[in-house]
Amino acid sequence: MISRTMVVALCALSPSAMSDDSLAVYGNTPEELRPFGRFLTAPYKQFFVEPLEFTGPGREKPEPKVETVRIGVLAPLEGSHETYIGRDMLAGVELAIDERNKSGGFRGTPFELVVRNDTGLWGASANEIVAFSYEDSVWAVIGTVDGANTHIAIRVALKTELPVMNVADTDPTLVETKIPWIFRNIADDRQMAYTIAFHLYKERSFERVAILRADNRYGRFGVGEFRGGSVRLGHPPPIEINYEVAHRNLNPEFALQIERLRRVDPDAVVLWADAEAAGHLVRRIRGAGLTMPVFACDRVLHGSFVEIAGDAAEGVVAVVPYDPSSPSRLHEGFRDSYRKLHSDEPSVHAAHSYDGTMMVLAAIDKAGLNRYRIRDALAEIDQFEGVTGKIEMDRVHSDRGRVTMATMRGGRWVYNEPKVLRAF
Amino acid sequence: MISVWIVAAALAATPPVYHLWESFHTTDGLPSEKAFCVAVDRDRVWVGTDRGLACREEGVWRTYREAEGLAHNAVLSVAVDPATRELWAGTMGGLSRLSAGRFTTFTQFDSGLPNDVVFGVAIENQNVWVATTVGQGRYMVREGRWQVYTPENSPQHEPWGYAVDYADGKVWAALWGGGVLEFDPATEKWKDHIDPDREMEIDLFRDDGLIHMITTAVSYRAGILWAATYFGLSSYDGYRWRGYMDHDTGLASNFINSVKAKGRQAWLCTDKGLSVVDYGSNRWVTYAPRDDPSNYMGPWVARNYSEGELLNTVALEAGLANNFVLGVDFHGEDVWVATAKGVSRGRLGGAKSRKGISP
Repeated sequence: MISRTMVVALCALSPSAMSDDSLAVYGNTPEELRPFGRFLTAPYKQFFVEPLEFTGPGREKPEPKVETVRIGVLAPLEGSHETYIGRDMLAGVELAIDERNKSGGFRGTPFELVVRNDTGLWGASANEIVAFSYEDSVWAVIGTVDGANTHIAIRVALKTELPVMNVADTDPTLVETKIPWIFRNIADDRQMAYTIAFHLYKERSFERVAILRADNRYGRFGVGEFRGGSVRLGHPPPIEINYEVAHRNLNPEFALQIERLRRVDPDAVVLWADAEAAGHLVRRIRGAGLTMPVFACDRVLHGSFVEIAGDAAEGVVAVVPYDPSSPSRLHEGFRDSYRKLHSDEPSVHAAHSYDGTMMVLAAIDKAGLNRYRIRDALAEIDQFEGVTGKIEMDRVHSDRGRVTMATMRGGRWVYNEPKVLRAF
Repeated sequence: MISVWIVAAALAATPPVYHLWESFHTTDGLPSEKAFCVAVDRDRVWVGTDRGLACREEGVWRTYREAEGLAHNAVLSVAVDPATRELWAGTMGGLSRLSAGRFTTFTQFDSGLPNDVVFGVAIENQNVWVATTVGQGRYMVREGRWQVYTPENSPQHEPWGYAVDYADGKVWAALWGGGVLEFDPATEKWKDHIDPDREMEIDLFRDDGLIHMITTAVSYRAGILWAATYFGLSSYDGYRWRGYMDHDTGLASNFINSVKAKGRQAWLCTDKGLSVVDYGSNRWVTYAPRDDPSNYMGPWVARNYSEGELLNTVALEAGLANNFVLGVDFHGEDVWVATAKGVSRGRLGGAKSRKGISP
């Protein structure tokens, strides 16, 4: 135990070492994984460690009289391989809005959801943000899932000056844009990739870890930090294998992917895939007699993964943005309400959507009906206690709460197994 | 004699201070306070706002909206064909052409326009280029034909256009996440310019190439490419890249909404004011509120910098309409500026300022 006197003495000796400014390091990036960290003590400029500002006018605009307070939801609700996320997202938002309306809405005025699909036309998310801004007059938007769609949406939101709360896009680059109108309350693939990399290489002493991923932006950017981290830790992946997102039509057997894995025979596989595709892949991997451990992204936490993979899912480890097994009255209440409505357990995305909506509603409570002041109120949130636990926002308005892991045991996810010594 | 010449050369390369600023608002006839862009066509000044397209001619503002045939009231970009004087407006609902007093609109439903959100537009010979949120498009006016550029046929990993410019026989495109693209219409070949470190969270070396992969605007004049980002400014003269940030130059802010070059000088529209830099001397003039950069009510000053050193500060009787600057264009020696709360005109003149129209 270190006494208070000792702490004071240590502070006096090394004030910077005792600094509590955890946000001075972007993305919880450990020293070993800093880009070019082996070659330079510091880059010419480190971005994202200073608070984002919006310096434009608008805060002075008066609040209008409205019949309902409109909130937009932008999600893949049909025609997409991500509808399983979009629908869970919408369910989480609806639950939060229903609860708030039952307790009086916004100063007696009910909240109203305006829901739009993000996967219609080419670049639909841009068109939908225009409609949210000028036709629907929403005060904020919750959404969306796909990294490309979100990037497209946020540039329009920047121009129309509309706060966007993202609850499901884990693309690290989403907030690495300096757009002061985007917020994200879910841990990103950077944190998840760091956690897997440290666990595999430092705690399990694996050396040759293959990457198997979706051939889209989610897969490409999802594993980007793991790929870079593996190199920086001295273990470049022996192979990175893609699979077609339209696998059902093009390659339902995953024959090429399985053959490549067999040939390389890695110590483990890191899998970045949607739940359904991951289920098929894991079933094929095990069916081919390959026994290497599989470490997967958070999307496998959806029920369809287990349904499809069946027994082959046993032992699969997933990185998890929050721990639903930790005792929390907030989470238990949310889970009970969700079960009553949907006769199902809430997913990762439903829980984060619920929290994201609550953050937006709290900002509206504080700021009133003015998009600029709502943005400011969201930007002022450093920590938010939600059903997903403590959400810790960094200086680019992204959740940097620590992630954890879960292991599939007997058809159920067992959280905090394996226990990781270092989570990000 | 040599020292006199050196001093004269340095003075010539120093951007002049615009002492005279006047601003225009809805009370003067603008359809909205929020101006996204400005383009000068001889004696006409076109302004794209979020509530219509405004034109100032002989001191009078006129507005065009959807009711007159404009594709969408939110106008993000404007370009005028110098040969035909046709106006092309990139809106949040398609591309509009104003010719002989009539609008023709192109949307992704009825033409080859890649997407209806048109961030940038530029004229290349008889062709019109657009930077849309999902792809660059080239409309060959005479043929009535579109060519769309995406990762399938050009060196970009995502087709996220943000700005486009044409000068000296080359088309330049700023891509969100894709750096700068250069297109040679003569050979139909593309070339990309990207951030050499390829990392989003750092700039490894100042002068090694583009500051960042996310570029917001591009302008090419007098053999110098200027690329704006939300992380600072880059220039390239064909041999050497150079980076500029707010901590090492006179740049008002790293958050640069747009850039427009005039000769060897670049004008930077930032969220904290307007800056102009001379390429050869790296001398800067920055127009910003004196104290709090977001307090546009002022008082305003012009600050002169050499490299990163502040040389002097000049008080202005009137400043720009707002510190959040979105667009700039030139009318002779005059400069027109689109801001988030009005439009301003800057004029050269004596140190004695003339009071502008207050916001």
